[in-house]
Amino acid sequence: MASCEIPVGGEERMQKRRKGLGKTCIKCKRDAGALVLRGLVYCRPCTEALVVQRFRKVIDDHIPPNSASSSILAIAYSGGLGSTLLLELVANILGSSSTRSRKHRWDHIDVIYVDQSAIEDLSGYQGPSSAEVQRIVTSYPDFRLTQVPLEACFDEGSDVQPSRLLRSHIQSIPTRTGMVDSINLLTRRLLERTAKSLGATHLILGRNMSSLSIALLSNICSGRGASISDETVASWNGLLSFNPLRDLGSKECASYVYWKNLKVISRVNSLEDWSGTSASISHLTREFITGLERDYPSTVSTITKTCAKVSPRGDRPSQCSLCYRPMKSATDEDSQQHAVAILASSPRDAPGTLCYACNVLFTSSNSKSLFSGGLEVPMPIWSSRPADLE
Amino acid sequence: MPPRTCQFCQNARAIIRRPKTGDHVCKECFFNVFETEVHNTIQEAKLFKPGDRVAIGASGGKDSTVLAHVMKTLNERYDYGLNLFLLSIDEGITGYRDDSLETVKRNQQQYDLPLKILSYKELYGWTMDAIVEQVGRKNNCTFCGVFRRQALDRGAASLNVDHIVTGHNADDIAETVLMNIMRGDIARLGRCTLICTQGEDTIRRSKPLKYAYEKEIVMYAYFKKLDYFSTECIYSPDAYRGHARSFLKSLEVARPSVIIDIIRSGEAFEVAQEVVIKEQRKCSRCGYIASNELCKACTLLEGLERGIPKLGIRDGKRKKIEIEATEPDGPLRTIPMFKLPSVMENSQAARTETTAPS
Repeated sequence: MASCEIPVGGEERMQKRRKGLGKTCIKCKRDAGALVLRGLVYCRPCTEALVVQRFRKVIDDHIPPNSASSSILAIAYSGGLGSTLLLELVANILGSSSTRSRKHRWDHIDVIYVDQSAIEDLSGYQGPSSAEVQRIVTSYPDFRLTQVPLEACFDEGSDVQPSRLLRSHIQSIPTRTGMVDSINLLTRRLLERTAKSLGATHLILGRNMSSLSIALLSNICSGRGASISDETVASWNGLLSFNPLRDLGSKECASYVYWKNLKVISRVNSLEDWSGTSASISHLTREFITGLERDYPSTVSTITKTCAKVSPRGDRPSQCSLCYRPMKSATDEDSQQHAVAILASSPRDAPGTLCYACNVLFTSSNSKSLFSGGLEVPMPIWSSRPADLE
Repeated sequence: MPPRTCQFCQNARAIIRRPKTGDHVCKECFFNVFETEVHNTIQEAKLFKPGDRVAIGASGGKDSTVLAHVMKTLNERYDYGLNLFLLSIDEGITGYRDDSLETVKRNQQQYDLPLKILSYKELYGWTMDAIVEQVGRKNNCTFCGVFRRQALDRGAASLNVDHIVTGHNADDIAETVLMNIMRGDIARLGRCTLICTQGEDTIRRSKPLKYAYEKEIVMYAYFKKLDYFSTECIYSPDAYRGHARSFLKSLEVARPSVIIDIIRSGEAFEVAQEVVIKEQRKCSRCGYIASNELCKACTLLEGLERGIPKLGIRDGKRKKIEIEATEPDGPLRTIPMFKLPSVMENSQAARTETTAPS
């Protein structure tokens, strides 16, 4: 019913695609343009300089330059566009452990790769082979590679194999949205825990402005509004994780990777290529944002900027035992439930003390879902341990 | 497969699968849970107290018709003690509002509630048809939005009510959360999920259908055989909102809880930085709340009257030059003085008394 309530200048506020572009670079005003970025023409050297400059700025914002204390850097590598670029930029721009960079000094640089092959058939995603990953990472002499399987999230001590536990955890989730959300969540937690165990102080992720805005919007659609600011920068147990490519669009990232002849060995979308009731929210969000970007090029940066300005409302004294983000106490989370929806039967018990969104993961279904009610859902290692041991 | 029985009463045959929860329910149980959820929402937010005079913003569409029906039902069932009124705004859109107002007039008979219709023509001297003729289709929603807001408050004041309830549903709110994020509208993002908004001197506005799914509202209206009018506004043009709406619909197919999940997300965060809110004052021409010398409606109206409709939309130097350049042909029509409803004046006086130093 609110379809006509437009704020003053609502339509104008959105920057539309410009028409009639010049042929020379807007920056150096000399070279022929090679790329159009958000309606402006750039030449190749200026684009490369822009990529380096924006990357450096985010690094300097999060890691104080010239600090006396040395640090260990961990890079999350998936073989995708962003993390491929990240390896290249860290190796050549920030300098390595042997060559002291002007501003930063690292004791080591660890590259962490999470191997998802145990759930290949469930996710429909075939990742790069271990040998391929090895080949790419060892081409940078200063990086140390750590490969961890996703099933390392589950306890090895039990009599069931961790990979079986991982599979039944994923299979107990009723929607594809929830499955994708859960794989992302387990991967993030595993990266953080591995980085921490390697003694890292900083963990950098390869999400660029486009993929970050997709992640932010799909998190909001999954009920993760309270922890939205943690998607951009999060601190856990002395480990700071952030996205150094957050100010770069996928177009400039892809061009840089192409010009430098770098090899991207993993495709991101494959995990989500489904449609109808089987589509996941992250897939739909990706399609939506990519379509919108064509007509309104500023959308992506607006989303990241807006999300940077919000913080959780009210006290969040507890911590969700699955995603480890701060949450309200369980009773506070429940209190409003009857106003929102009255259910015919009491909902399936979610395993553990979960935040709103993680609870939704296990309880929310769609018309195609089959409930595997009654089965006990295996939970990752960290969810049964007190937070202070983590 | 034998017919399913209702998951609530375990007795009657289920004929509806609830879009919100996926439960299979019979017609009576559907009515009952739908109404109870609205009641719980009202109780949880403590929206009303006995004796309140409440106007239902009625357009004749499905949302406001269901709202009027549910409000009347709940008021009787739970003894809220409310005096309910129907309040309609006639924007003057031929082929849209004239027909929907006929529906509202029938609703008045059906629900036996007093009805007040206030038209743009009588308040501003302009119908939307005339405005669109002058400004074109591009910016006309700005006029309509600003004019409607003020018209609703003036209508409420004339009914002497201090609370307006509107038919915004869960889909509308979820869509607005997405829109505000994509447009970067921080100030609106912070308040769009609130069930009730009220400033210092403004009439309260609430959305009792905040958690009701649009699909369920349509089902409720259909199975209750409510008399409503269904057409989109003929001038509605916001392409960007259209994108957001179809995106939300596709998300709902993938996971029906998404609408509530988005609202929950919106409720869970707040705007980190302090947003500078302009001090509220009274419009020097019509007495309505304003953030400048003139309120938005008076500025827009002046633009229309002088034949420079972009007056209220454009800012900066250009605005001044144009005002100086145009001499009005005759006296400009203005909006009558605004007076708060007397119920509010009394409560304000009481507030002043209690806060006065002894």
